[in-house]
Amino acid sequence: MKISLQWLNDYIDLRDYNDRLDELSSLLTKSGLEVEDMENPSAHWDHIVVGELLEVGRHPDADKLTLCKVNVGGQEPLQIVCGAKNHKQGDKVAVATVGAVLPGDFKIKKSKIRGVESFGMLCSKTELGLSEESDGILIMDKAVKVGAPLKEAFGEGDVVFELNVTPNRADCLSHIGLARELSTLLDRPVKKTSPEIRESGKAIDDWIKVQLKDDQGCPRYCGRIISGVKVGPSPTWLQQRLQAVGVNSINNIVDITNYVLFEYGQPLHAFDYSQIQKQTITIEKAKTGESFTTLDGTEVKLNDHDLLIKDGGRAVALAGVVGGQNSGVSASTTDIFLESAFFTAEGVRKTSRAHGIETDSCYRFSRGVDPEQTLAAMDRAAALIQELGGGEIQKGHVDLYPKPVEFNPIKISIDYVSERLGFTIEAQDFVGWMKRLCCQVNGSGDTYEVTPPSYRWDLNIPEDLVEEFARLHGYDQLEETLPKLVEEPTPHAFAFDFNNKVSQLLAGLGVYQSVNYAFTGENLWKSVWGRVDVAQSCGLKISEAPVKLKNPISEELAVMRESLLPSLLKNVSHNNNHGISFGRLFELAPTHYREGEVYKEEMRLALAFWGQAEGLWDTQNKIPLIYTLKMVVEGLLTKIGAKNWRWQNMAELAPGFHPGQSIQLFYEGKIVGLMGTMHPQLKADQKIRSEVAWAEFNFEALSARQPRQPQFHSLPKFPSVERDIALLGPETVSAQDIGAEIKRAAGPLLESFQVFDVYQDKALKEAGQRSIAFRMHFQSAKETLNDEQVNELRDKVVNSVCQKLGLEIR
Amino acid sequence: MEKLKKIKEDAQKAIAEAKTSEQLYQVKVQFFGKQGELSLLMKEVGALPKEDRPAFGKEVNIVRAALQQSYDDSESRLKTAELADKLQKESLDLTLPGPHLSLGGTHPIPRVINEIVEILSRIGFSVRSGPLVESDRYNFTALNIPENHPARDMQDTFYIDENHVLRTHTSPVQIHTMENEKPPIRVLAPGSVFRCDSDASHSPNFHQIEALLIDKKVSMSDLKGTISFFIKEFFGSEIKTRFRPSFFPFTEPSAEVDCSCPLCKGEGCRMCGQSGWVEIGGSGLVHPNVLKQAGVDPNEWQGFAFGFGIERMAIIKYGINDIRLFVENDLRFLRQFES
Repeated sequence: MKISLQWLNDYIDLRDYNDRLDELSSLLTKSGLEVEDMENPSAHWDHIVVGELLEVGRHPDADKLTLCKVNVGGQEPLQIVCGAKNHKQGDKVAVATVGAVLPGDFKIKKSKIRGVESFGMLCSKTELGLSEESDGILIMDKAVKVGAPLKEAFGEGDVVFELNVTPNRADCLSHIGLARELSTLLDRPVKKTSPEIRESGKAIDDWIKVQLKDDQGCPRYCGRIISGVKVGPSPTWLQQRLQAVGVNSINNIVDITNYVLFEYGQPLHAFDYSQIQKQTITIEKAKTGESFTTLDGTEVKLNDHDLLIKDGGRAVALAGVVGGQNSGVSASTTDIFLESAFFTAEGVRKTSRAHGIETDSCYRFSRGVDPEQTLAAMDRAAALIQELGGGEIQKGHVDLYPKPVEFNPIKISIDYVSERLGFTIEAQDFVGWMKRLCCQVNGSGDTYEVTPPSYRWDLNIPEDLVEEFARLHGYDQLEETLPKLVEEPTPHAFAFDFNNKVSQLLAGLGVYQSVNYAFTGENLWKSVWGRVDVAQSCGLKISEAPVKLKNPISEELAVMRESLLPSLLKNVSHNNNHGISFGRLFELAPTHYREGEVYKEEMRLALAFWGQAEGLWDTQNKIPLIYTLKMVVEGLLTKIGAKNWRWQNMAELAPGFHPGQSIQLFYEGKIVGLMGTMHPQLKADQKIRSEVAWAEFNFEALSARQPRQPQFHSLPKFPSVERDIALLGPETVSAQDIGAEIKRAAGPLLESFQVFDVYQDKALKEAGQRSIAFRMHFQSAKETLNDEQVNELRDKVVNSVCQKLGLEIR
Repeated sequence: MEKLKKIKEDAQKAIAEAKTSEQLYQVKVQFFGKQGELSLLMKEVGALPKEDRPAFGKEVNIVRAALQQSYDDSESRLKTAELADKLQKESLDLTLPGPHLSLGGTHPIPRVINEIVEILSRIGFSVRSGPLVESDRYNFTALNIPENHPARDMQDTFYIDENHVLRTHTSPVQIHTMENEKPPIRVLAPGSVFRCDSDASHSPNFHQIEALLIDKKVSMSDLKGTISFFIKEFFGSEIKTRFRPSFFPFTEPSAEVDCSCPLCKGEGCRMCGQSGWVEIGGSGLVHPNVLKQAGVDPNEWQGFAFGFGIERMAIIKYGINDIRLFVENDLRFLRQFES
């Protein structure tokens, strides 16, 4: 909301703030009306004077430039080169002479333009900070005095405040409204003005019949006839004021309705009386499917909640939102029906939203206007039309207000205000501020009844008054106390603690946490998972239909993520493109799926490792990256106390994974995710040079039965004995299968075992064979095992493994 | 006796001349080991007259003890020298790097969330969570933002369907908590939120943390004290808190929260637009309509709530100058949060 200081001065005397504008600005901000910007163009008007164009000639070397001789009141005229086209000899113009500094730190100096000396610049409105855009230079009124400083000729330039008015303070969306607010803050009076209405001609009833059929949507409807007007341009002062608040001038009638809108906050509409059929106006709800063409020619299909202004045959305005093409003021209009109404906020807003129409009128109605100034604002506009557009205000006016809006007193006690603010306040302070807000205050001692003025419809409950008092008395008066803790604190939601723990563990295991948008492009997951059932077979929940946004800001951010891997792919790709050839990332975040009409989340953990460190001692380079990922995943599983898990081969192949280098995690009885090397094709498509290993897990499954307490076992009393076996056989027999058989065959005395060597020379490789060596640790809780016992166990293992899995001892 | 004297002199000389502990040991073997010259001399004791034998034996033992002493001294000296020599030969260029260790780290957003949670849990707040896809009721109506209320314009909303949105704030968790738990309540709700605007300073998906306190008597001073405590712990004890009147549909009174700029300590800098203050969030006393909507009797209970933007806190705390960095997951950025 833009507010002009000049305009504001019509209603409250703020001249003493002219050189303390920052003070005024911070006063408003502190009271809750944040000043976002302050434009003060005349701050740049030093060395700008009125000049008269004595000669306008051609620049000898440039067709598009003119060479002017300008009288600025000095002995000699100034020679100035100008690029504009709209000036002619005799025009009075604004001349920035040498030494002037225009907005944007643009310093005016003596210069040579295409070989010709120029001693200043003829200014446009834009260059003077008076308008956002302008067509050519500013041509001033003939009457201004040559050589006068611009400040003198134009008056002290206006200052425009850009206010951020919160939705509750609709009363401040006008100059009078803001003057009232400043009157409260500064304790100085608002200058009252009452428009002078001189009626003549016929009585209103002879002109028009108005019927109010919906006093819910329109509690008050007023109207006047002004006849014999001349539609034409507005005077400069009116144009300037509208320009200051960012409104373009159209014609005197439309400008006046806009002017009163910014003055009173009351939207008005002027109809061309001659276009109103049967001299009747009816305010009633539309029928569903009815159509209406707005001022700018847009056709709207109406709903039965839309409120219409109709004439004898058709809709002429969408109440409070926009006028109709069929009845607006045009150049040939002579008689006007001026409407000033109180349409309810909800109705206007509903219509505005349903049809996507935003106007200054519906902005104000949907925030709430003052039902008690409907008439005053109309009369102000009527008087202005009479003054500026000629015409006669016809006798009488329409004012349909069947059920006046009631303002109920709010009961409040001083104790309550003190209690909510946390410090003791004095009744006289509270009552004083309420009165300065123009509230009616009744009561004494501790309890009062406060009735807010009609424009403060936002004040309804005692809390509202507490806030009013607090903001006026000053938020800086608040104390700083800590609330007493009486009850026992509760624990954090488990997921928060556990997610945190896992993030910390993964960071400790050398992985960096990533955070991505929760939404992504549709179907991106398919490059990784291919089909819904493939992802499902890996224990992840993905639904056929994604959770889709109705109004995404782009295609790339259109559906809620179904898998975290596409995001990690993007991250790896970003890093790779920035020359970061190796790294490790994880993300812990929810994905979305649908279960019928219900939207659900599944927490996931995904990891992506790419490239290998290049350093002096790096031995891990020798093994495929997927084993490093596996090390981290298994490390994590151990760290969270998981016991019952194993890896198993894939039932279905996911296209984002290397078919020979991917494996599923089987955890406590079900498949909970997948880990593997990125498919070389996907990697090539993404132009990723490094090797990539990645994984995604259903984190909710991993979170089951957490936190797990460590279980204590007594330390062994008897020593453990080792035996090694090397087994030769087909490489298709997996280490996990051999291990399982070793465990089964060895029985309870096998304390642990590990693979300690894998050997495959060229010949073995060609034959599809390999040797794999296990070290077994045997131990008993009851005795020291002797060689004989252990050898027997080893032989049993060897026999069993060789026989069942087709291996031989090497 | 002559022989004994000679053995002693020869042995002493040999001990003194031994260059290594190995040579020294050979001296011991030769002269006073089990088969050494001294032992052989002892065997000759039988040839002596009976009365001389004790005296001779005594002499031999004295010599043996003396030699042993010299030997021990020499051995200790040689071993020290040899160890020093060995250690010197084993020296390494420890300016060479160790093997690469991926250090890992948490992202600044969860990091800031954790820090905030840690501070506020000291005064009894604990974390609750809620879904990202929310019904209209939890995101709006229960928070005193009815349909067709202009306050809906304050937040550009992503819609999933007629009745569901991506939560525009973490405030719906207030309602979930009040519905599920009995007051008094002290909870925090950190998490992802969504607004459909995107430019250099706005991300369509960012993070907030919300605090809600419900108790018998709750005042604006309690609210300010709590926020002030938090800000001092988070940014530093010299940082001040300022309230400005504002409007949020779910609080009354409402206040915008500023703190003195932690970067310039209030002197004025680019971060604070030369004002010395930075805006960090919104706060207020819970609106009675919100309590009612969540099934809490406003005549019995009162509350306050406040919320901060996590990215904003991270930007202020670490001086991060580009919001895209939060989602690019560039390792050069993430590595700055290893510590």
